[in-house]
Amino acid sequence: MSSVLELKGIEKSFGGHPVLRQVEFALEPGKVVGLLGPNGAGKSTLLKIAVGLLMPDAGQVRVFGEPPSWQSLARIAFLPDRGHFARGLKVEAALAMAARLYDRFDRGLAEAVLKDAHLRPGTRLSELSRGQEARLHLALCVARHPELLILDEPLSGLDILSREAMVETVIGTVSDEAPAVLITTHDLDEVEGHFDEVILLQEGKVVLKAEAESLRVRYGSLRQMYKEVMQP
Amino acid sequence: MEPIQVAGITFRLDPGKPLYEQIVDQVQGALARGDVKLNERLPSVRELAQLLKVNPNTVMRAYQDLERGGLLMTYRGQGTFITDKPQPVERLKQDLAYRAVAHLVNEMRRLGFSREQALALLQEVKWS
Repeated sequence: MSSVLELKGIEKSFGGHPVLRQVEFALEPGKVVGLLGPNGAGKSTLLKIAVGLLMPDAGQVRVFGEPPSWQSLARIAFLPDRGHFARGLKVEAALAMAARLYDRFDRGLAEAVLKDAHLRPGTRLSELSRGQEARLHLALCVARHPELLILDEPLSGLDILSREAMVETVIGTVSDEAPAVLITTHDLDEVEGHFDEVILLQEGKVVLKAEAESLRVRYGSLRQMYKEVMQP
Repeated sequence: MEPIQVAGITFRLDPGKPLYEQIVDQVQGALARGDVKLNERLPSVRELAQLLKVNPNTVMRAYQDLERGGLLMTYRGQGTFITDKPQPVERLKQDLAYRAVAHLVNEMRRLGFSREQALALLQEVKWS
């Protein structure tokens, strides 16, 4: 089985300070993988490198077997930790924009997700709650029928209902289309049942990569695993 | 985790054990006890994953495992059902009973009890 995403020997420094050191892992089709680690471990940098938004100083990135390019980007949906949309835009304009940008954009699917979130097309983005905004961004991601879905802290700062709704949308997408999913999160309680595999990043290095089910047996829970492995 | 009732099955998942095994065990337990009826429709992979807050791949794996044991049947476009035949359920009950007894025997032997002593205890012990 060929990997959806393959990273080899990735190195990245900012201003002489190493952020990623010899990072290697592969993501298989249909797997949901949690990329965990404390703030500043390099998770977001790694995701940006994976989708080609940042160049590594050394190492190799392969997405669907090729270096990242605009062709591979069309098959990836990336939810950054902070969304950037013009605040004056209306929801429907955001949808129209996405539909123009992306060939495979499924407007019906996006609208269904938004309807669940009680998001009306005429609402301005500046009037959205944080939870609604997050769900708009997620709707735009899943409606592209991505083969690789990358979510950077999708639940942070959201209330419990929005968090549950976000998780439900992701489960729905995984059930229906089985994309590979890479998620960074600190909200382990909500998502620990969803990972096939877990990668732990600490100070820019992969310190653990294992199947979630075996970690549950070894540590009692992923939360416990995180605590034990991250102990200084 | 809070227990979740679905189609007569009570799911109670412990985050410290393989989730896939727990789903299989809990469906089997419900079948053995008769909590869930033959030919009963089960939630789709997607629905059960959402209810239990687990990865759909985990539910899919559990369903496939149960299908291999003849306990579930999936019909394209119609969904997943408990088998309509009593034989696989009877076989399952036997299997589970043997496993439970084997476990008990091992434990009693480990503690130094003879077969006679164990049987005597079984006679004495309150069943309900």
